[in-house]
Amino acid sequence: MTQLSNRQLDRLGDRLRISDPTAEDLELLGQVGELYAGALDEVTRVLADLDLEPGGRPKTVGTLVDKLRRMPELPLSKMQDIAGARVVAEMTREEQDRLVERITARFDSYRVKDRRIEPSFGYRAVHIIVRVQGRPVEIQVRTRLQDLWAQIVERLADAWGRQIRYGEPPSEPDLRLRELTRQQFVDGLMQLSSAVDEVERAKVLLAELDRLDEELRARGEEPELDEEMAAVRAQLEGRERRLRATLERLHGASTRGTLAP
Amino acid sequence: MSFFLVVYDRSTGELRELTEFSEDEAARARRERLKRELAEREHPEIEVVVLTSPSRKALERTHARYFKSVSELTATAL
Repeated sequence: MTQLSNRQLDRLGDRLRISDPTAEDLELLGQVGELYAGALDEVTRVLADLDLEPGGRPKTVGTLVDKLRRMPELPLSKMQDIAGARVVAEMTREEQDRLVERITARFDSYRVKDRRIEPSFGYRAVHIIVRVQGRPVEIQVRTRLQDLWAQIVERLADAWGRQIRYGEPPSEPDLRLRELTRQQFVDGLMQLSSAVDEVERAKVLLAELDRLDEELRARGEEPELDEEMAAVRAQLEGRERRLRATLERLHGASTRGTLAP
Repeated sequence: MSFFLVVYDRSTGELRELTEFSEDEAARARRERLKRELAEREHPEIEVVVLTSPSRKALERTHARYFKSVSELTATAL
């Protein structure tokens, strides 16, 4: 296979921005996939070595064209997530941080994007862009709840339009699904994202207080943190109730058949 | 690692095809993907992708949207 130059890649990207892919473009995209395949395979092997169960994928033609059109200044050769791997685990945010550290320790060149601090229209995760075999590969590290949110949005975006991933209204926003319209459902998803964030942050705070309590006791001091800990526990319980209530509302409106997906 | 050729109808949420290839068959999986992509060129609602995963079970966890409806997804957290 002939190696594609960055210039060829960028020309292909420019064509895809303005017209649907021809058969020849699809052949070239196949070659683009091959360029990144080795790097992606290496990344998934490293993640499996860490006893993780990663999923990996190259960007599909649809999502690639979508991104090129959404970001007209981005050359295809500079796109960071043509190949991506994902790790999902039941873990706290502190464990998520430690997992990110374990992963980055295995790569010489990487950059971390913390989308928990800077969420993208409700999307939260930690992304690591590693450089392997001269190509960037994006590793998404998600807690189970962060992933659940993202999977729901992805699934809905297929049916209601990918613009919902970027804060735009769904197609037919007033169409009703049981007690909620599509727009209300999307608004509910934003509330769900905030609820997940609040629960995860309260757990971090509680863990920090627990640690401080243990440290002080180990030094023979009386921590006197009971009130603070009880307050944070109560806050966490309240937030977990809100999260559950939001989930139940969305679940009630999404019985299969009423939502296309 | 295994390679899974996924053919998915975005408009209906239907997983039309899921074919597993072994690690040695990675190149074949990617060729097959291109062939399917060309065949579905007139149907942008059809997504064709090759996913890498240690097992189908792991794949269902990292890429749940191909396997579960919104209702089933929300149910997993209740």
